[in-house]
Amino acid sequence: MEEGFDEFLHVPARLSIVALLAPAEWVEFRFLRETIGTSDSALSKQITALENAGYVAVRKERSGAARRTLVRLTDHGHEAFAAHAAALERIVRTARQRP
Amino acid sequence: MTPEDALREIRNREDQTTEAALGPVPRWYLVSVALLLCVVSAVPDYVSRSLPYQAAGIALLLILSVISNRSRRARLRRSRYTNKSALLVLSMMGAMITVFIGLYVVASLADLPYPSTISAVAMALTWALMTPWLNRAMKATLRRER
Repeated sequence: MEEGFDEFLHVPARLSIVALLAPAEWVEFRFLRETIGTSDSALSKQITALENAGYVAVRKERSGAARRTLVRLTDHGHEAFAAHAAALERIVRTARQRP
Repeated sequence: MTPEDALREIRNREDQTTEAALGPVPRWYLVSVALLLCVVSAVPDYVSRSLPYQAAGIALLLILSVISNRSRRARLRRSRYTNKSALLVLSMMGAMITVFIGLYVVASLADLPYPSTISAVAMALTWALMTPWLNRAMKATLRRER
């Protein structure tokens, strides 16, 4: 297995979430749900799994009358994601170099 | 998922977040900021002690900026912004200041009435016209430099 490759992150639903979170300081839960096109419960399940692994952090805040849930990648999550993306790049590069 | 598909997925998702964070500037924000810029810069033409009005205008501009930020669905990490993106912001600010000072000097030399108002309107128009450009340029720069 390529160094840095993270099987836990490579699950499509989780990879999509983490890739959406990677460039951001934080994103709204609602944005994740609408962009990925999934249900509240399915997304919550993946977010909880990522939270338990220490990859994401969740906080709720009041925005006027409404409440919103914000999700962000932790430092550990950023490191794991960067290592995973780098491993993917290496795998693709190696595959292209093969005759 | 193959590694190539995964990399493609990562790029597409990152673009979606960038789009959400730097999406089109709401029209209400463009218009409100343009009006406030006009008021703050034109007030010396109408009031002798303009500082309190200008301070109130600047405070309102800051409040609008906070409201606009809060209405975003995502906020990009500071580390995503490169020197090039800072240069884009500086060039827009430079254009606004140049338009304001240039027109003020011309209007004053030509002895036109309300020189601050003329230059304030021109600066506000520069803001309204250049903000969508800045937005598009910023997104393109971030995409190129990731």
